[in-house]
Amino acid sequence: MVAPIEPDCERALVEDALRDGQAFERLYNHYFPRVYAYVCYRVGKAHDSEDLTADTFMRAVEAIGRGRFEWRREGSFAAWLFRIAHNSISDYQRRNQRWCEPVPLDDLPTLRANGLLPDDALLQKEQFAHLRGLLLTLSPRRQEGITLKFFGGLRNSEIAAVVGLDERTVASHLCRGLEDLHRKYLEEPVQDRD
Amino acid sequence: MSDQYDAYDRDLLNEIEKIIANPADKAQEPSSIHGFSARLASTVPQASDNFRNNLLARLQRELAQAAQSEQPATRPIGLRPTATPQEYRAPAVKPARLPATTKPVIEGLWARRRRRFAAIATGLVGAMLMLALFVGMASLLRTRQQASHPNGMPTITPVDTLAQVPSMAIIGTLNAGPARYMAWSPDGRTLATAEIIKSEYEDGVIGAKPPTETYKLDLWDSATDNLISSVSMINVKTLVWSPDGNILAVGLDKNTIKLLGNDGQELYTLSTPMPGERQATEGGITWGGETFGNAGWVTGIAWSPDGRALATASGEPFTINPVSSDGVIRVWDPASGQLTRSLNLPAEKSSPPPGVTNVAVIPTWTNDVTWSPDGRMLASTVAGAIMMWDAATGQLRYVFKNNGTEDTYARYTAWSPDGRTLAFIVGRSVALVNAASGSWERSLPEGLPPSPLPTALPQVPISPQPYETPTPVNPYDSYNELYFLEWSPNGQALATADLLVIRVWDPTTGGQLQAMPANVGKLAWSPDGHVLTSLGEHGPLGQTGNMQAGTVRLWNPATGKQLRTLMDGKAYNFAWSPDGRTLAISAESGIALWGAFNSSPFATGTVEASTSTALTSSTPTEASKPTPLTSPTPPLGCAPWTGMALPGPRSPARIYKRGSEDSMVFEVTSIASEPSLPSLARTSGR
Repeated sequence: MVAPIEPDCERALVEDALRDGQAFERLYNHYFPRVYAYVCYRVGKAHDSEDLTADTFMRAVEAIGRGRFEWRREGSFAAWLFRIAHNSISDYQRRNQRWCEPVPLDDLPTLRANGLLPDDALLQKEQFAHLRGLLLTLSPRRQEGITLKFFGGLRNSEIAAVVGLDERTVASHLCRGLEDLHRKYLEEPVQDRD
Repeated sequence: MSDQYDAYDRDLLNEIEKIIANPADKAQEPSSIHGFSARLASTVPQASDNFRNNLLARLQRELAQAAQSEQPATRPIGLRPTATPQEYRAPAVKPARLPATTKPVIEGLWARRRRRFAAIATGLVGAMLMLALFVGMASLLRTRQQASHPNGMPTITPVDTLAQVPSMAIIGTLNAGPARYMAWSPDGRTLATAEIIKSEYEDGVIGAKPPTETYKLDLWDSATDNLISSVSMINVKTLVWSPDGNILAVGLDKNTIKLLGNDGQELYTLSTPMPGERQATEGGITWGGETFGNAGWVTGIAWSPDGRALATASGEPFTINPVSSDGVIRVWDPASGQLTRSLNLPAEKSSPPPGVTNVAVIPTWTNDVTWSPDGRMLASTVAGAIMMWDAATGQLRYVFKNNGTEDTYARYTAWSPDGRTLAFIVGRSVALVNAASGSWERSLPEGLPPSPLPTALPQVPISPQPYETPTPVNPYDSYNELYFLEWSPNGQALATADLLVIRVWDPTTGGQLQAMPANVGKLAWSPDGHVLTSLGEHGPLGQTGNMQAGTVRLWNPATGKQLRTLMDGKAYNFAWSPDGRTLAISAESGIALWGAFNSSPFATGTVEASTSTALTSSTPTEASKPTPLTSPTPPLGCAPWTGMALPGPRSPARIYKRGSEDSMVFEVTSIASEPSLPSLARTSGR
């Protein structure tokens, strides 16, 4: 997980992004992996995830280019950015009624190597597909909370801003959702073949 | 117990934070929830470097283009109260208008949005290929037949080519309810929507009085589709943006207007007491021993073109209780929230609206005000007559009034885009008058006014819902009461609609160009003037009737052909974005943002090549190829639709206006030339 950027620093980076390519690149490097991973878990297919990630950043860049800094009121650039991603995904899911169906292995994204996953790329994809399949059995709020927390790396207050709930409710969704997910995982564990 | 759970949750959340920060630190034993969390946190999808780098390069190009077009810092004209300078947002990052050179950024986004439909397109391309081939061959055959017609038929006739037919696809949705009112800011950055979330009848009696409606007024960022703000308001009647898009004026009831910043923050509440002998009470307006709930609707709001003044008109539109207006047009300073001028007729010149018999004397009433494009004149409908005022001095310049009968009136003023002509509805026809001289120019159609009125005017009762039985024998043969009047953006055509027929007129010759049969509840030109848009069968017209869903229809005003229908039977309202590239349509399930393309966003070169032989205008074969994500070429397919005769600049911002619910006949009988207020008694002749 990338180390967080201090809020003041982040604010300065966003404000400089229009004129300073390096400032934008730092923001991009910080948020791109998180947005992509979050979108992958919500969407499943690698190709569509790329499209939605690109769409999210294009919208953000357009807003920055037009001088829109609505995120200031929310106090968090991350919450603002992930809300754009959240909107894009909602549109995608409305248009694609089959978005929750199992994804063929070839269409699944590759996973980040971290020494904890099996070396075999196919097994990695199976593990991802299994975890995502279990996630899809949770309520949408719990899915959203867990994916934003684990893969978006957002604080609870930021998740609350993205999904339009209060922070305490988000915390509850996170805890209950994780317990539920864990229970389902134990009932139906992924087959480790390593 | 609850505290224990809280403590447990707190510990779990703290542990999750640590695990997410470094999942490798935690044992991967999934039997514990911590181990499982570590496994989950380490299963992270990763994009290819190629995609990541290409996207970064593309984003940096877009930012560089946006930075080049950034305007020098200028403070918007007097739009923020000096009392709260800290609220003012730095203009350096917020140009007052969208610079033309930011277009590539938007087009880039557009290309990305279109790409999202690639999956849908796959299934459609085959069908489109077949359709295009069929239309192409049919058009070619028809053209050849006409060219060789022995009786001298014209060899070139207007033919709807595929290049002229806009292709529409949903490019986004806003998570809102069915919005009754919708308004894009003129700079296209913000979409304001208002939906009813609660409707309550006084004393629980339906129909006796208008219900009190609670609206949720949302502002949306058009770039991100994010909700900027959401506020609750009672009895919203109209939404009108300031010309620079920084202030939204919201017309409410009880002679009240609220000004909101484009961040949703309330700037001012403009209010005047209800007039004369009536007294405001807790539940509404008391007059003649009867209480009228939520009266004094502000239905007319007009910003001056420079955004420095705001004119408002309030009064019910001749329906249930049209008794709460004083007929005064008020001009406000939006920078200070102060009333700067009141334009009014002497009270003794008032007349009761038709159909109202339960009161003896009623002040004049008004529900409509428009500002001329040059900002010098104001036009309003007051007591069934059209008044033109000098905006600078407040002097009444011209009066176009009825023929003396109390049950006929004119209404619905619309300035031509060049400001030279004022059009208004007079019963079944449109009157065009010269704005400078006040002289009558013509009526559309010729031959209705100023021809003699029928000697016995039909006594048509005022109906709150006149749409239920519109069944003429042949709509082309009859001219019915008009409700809609819209200038084309370049002023070269005028569209009118009664409840059954849309007509397009040439205002210079008075000739009728097209007639299109359609039930109409709302009518609007697309901003480029290439498409006429109607919403039927009911639309948002009815102010007191219930909202009913209808179908959005797109028409080619040059040929009279229907191009598309959208949201069949599901649309409540629509609004074109100022750049003409997005049509927002509200429905029960939310607000759909439809993108407009000059040809299919999914079309391939093969389609274009196969249809180009039948096109009367040349069509670039490359125009519709999807743009690859990483391609540096600009997005295509978004150019204005070609082959049409009505291009032109955008019309002044006006969100939408309502026709009134009468069905009277009217004649212009008196034109006063620059009268002063005292001489009005003579010119009005009452």
